[in-house]
Amino acid sequence: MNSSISHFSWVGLAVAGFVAIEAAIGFFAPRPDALRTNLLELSFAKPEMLQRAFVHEKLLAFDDAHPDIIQVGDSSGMHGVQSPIVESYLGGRSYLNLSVASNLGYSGFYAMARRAMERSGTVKVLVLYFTPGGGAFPKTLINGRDLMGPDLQRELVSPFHQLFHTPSLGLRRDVTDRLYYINGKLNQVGRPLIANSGYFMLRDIIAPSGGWARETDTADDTVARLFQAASPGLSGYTDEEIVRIQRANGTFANVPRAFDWSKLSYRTTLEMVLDDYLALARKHGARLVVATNPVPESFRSDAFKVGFDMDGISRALKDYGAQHQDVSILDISYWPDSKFSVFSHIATPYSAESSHRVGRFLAGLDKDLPPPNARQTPYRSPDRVVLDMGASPTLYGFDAAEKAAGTTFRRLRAGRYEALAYARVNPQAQQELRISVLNAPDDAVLRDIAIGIYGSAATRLPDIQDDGKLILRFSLPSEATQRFGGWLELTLSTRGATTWQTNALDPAATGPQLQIDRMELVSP
Amino acid sequence: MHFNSLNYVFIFLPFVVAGWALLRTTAYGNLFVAVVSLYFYASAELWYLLPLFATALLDYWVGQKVHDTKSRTWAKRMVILSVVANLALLAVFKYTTWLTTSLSGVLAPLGVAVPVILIVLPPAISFYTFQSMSYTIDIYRKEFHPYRNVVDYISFVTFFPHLVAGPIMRARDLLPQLARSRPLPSAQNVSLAIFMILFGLFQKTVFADNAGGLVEMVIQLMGPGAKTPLPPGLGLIFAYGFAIQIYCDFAAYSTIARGSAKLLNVELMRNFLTPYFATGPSEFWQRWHISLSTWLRDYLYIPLGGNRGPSWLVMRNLMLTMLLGGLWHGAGILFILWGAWHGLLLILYRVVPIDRWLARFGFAGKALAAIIFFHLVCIGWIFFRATPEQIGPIWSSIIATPTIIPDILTKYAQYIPGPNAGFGAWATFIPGLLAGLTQQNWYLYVFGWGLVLFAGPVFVLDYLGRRHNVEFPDLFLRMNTVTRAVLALIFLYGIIFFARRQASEFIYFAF
Repeated sequence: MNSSISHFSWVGLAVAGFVAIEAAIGFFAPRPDALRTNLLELSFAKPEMLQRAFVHEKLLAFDDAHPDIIQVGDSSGMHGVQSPIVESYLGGRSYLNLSVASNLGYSGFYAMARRAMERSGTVKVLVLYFTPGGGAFPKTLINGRDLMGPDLQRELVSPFHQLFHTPSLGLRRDVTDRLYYINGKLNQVGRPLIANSGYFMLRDIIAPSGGWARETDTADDTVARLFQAASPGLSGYTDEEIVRIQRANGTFANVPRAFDWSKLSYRTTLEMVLDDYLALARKHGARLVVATNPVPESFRSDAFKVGFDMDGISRALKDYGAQHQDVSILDISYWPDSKFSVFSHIATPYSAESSHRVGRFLAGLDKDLPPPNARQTPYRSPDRVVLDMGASPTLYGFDAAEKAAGTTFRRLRAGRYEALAYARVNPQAQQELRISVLNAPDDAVLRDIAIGIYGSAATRLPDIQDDGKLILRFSLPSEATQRFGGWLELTLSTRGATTWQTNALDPAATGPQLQIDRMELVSP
Repeated sequence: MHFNSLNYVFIFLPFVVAGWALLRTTAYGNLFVAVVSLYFYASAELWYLLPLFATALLDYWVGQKVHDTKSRTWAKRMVILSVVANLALLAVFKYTTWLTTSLSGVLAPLGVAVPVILIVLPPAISFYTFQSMSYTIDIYRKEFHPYRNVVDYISFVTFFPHLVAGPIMRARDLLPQLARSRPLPSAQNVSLAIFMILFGLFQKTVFADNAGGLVEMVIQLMGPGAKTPLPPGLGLIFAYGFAIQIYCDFAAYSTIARGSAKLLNVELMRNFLTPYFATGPSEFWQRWHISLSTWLRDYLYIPLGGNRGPSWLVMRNLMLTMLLGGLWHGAGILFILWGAWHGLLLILYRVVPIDRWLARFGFAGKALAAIIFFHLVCIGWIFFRATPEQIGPIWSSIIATPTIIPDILTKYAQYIPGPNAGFGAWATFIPGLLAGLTQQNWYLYVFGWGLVLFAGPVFVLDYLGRRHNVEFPDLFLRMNTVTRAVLALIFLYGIIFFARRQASEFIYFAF
């Protein structure tokens, strides 16, 4: 017997060593649970997959949050719902936008929801937000190839796999960075996971925005050619030809049916998916809200009606809601095409409007919602927020950064009078916006500059000079900074407007004359 | 199911070992192993079982008939039926898509429309058809007798450790082991098995998958959006990277398979033996995919005539065997070229025995012979991995490699210190030159470092094994407790930190 056991003494020694190492790491160099997963690839010299990095950043930001309401789903929700605006309707309840991208698949959204609900124990409403322009729900997002869902299920919620999330797993990035890149000689240690503007933006903005990030579908922030984006190559065809092409390509958005092995019958994929989400919500005593992203008006045209059965989707959703008392449906709305960047994404200037739509709907459920939980941790904004014009991606309507005499600056893009910037400040303090410009003090374009916050005008203060640069100063109205808990959508206009006017471009627009090298928000 | 999954290591394997240990003395032991093997194989797609059962049951039946008949003519007909049926099945699944696609491309300009037939290839079909075929052939040759118990036979064909990617076991080696009521494995064997499985996982997830990552990145640089030719030297990274990837991938599979089988007290044959230290093609094929090369030797090369007869006949036999070996790997002209390349090397080394000449110079000569032959093998790997469109850029990049130094010297010519320059001038120039060399060849520099990381340890471990003419995991029995434990921790933390996360399948699953 002793002899048999002696053959395994190395196993015992290795296990003891492993336990000692893990205990030491857990004690001396603990890392957050969000880092202790196998979600990121961290391969030698290979960039991460964008959506994987998005999920990682959302986990890092919100893994320990205690929200009352969470939203999961595809990118239409990530770009379309600003949490602080929704929260303004919720009587002190907190809202978290955990939507990422469609290639997570419905099992991926589910894993995000389940992890948040299990970790927080506070979620009382689960919002599944999706674009019906892609169907409800396409099989490709349920069991299609290359969906991230199985990975997320494994890494975020599988109790078996979480047994292997050892403390040392949290050091993976540090170790690979140092060995793979010779301690910074080949690549900067701790660099951003990927060099991608969408990723930079998301990383910078999701904590203050509660998970929202603006869309980056279109170069230079112009609205895309909607129909080309929806069905590439349709430009120039007649409606009849579009119908024929759609039929040939099988481009459909409808309510597919599939065999449900658990019920041994054919059912709609909508029922099958929502049953899972409803079961999850019920397990946590929560309500399920199924919310649709608005759909472009054109989807009602004859050309699109063939493949895009919006009425059918709407009916199926309503039926499901009618069958289940604890399910609420935010039905499809049709918005002008000009408010979309692609058919599934609201263009940035209209995402506030989309957020109000969600907020109003949830406010209507108020009687069904429990009071706010005490464990929520409100976002704490810094005293000073700098919008770095060289790198800050929380901007919309600006051209690419330029460099002159060692200074990086941006102009409004050609055709624009307005641009947007997003930030979150301390709502209790008076805020001043300081814009450092490279223009001469007597430049005509400076005369008509106005700053609007959700339609309220900021008061212009006397300009000052600092280090040879002209600083334009604006005092922000406190009712505007307080309205959404310090969350600001700043409209910068060179024609005195306080709101976003239009996405249409005007060749005579004066925006490009303005050269901004820095914007900052300070409490004077 | 994959060996490199937590489900296999921590759920499936312990369950199977425990189940077998409980049932091994009953009539249900092999039935249990057969059922779990079928689950292992077909849990992804149930229809995979159809061709598997077709092959297994046909050969089971043919084996009985060949043995029972007194007529050699009838026995021969039966065995021909088995061989033809197996090869036909293999051809239908493996070559139909390729043939119809190729024909369609060739005949389209002539106005002849050939429909392309797309057939999904069931994993492991090449392995189990060869294995099953050898059973009937061995019975025909009277080297083996049939087993009447169909469960034993099915458990031989489907035995999960080797079903998907070998080793291709002969019935005479495996069936008797499975058919008897086996005792539990010894503590030493279990201990060794655990070490082998851990090492195999480390070898696959750290070395094979990361070397594969280098190959993928070189391929990306040749992708449709590539604006410049593949930089000098990266063709070599491709070839070296794939050499490491395919070796570690396949050897790891075989090591895990052997370790898993040991837990059921079954010995599978060794499939690799430090092949990249081979000094010539004959030695290489005695060390690389040994179960296939011996299969081809016994069932193809020797029946063709083997080493008997005039030289040209032997060369023909070698070439035919390697061509068919190439075709066995996959449908495509480049697999055939890969086989032809190895056939050519076998012939070349018979005519010009470079390895034997160099061996006269002792260790240095043998080392040189091994280096030369490793590079010849790498040339073959380019055919094996690349697509026809990638072959040109890879070769251009390899050929351009020697221009790296002259190029940089030309660019820095004006800074080269004069004949009377002092030490200071050189001390400035040389670091500058090296910095320039690095910047101008950044990909090569980075990927080269990657190769050092993921290939260097492979050669060190193989060298340690080679000294005792075994594979590295076999050294386990020579190690003391502390060494074993330290190595286990290194493998474990190697996997935790460096394993590629998006699990990639074993390459030979595709065959």
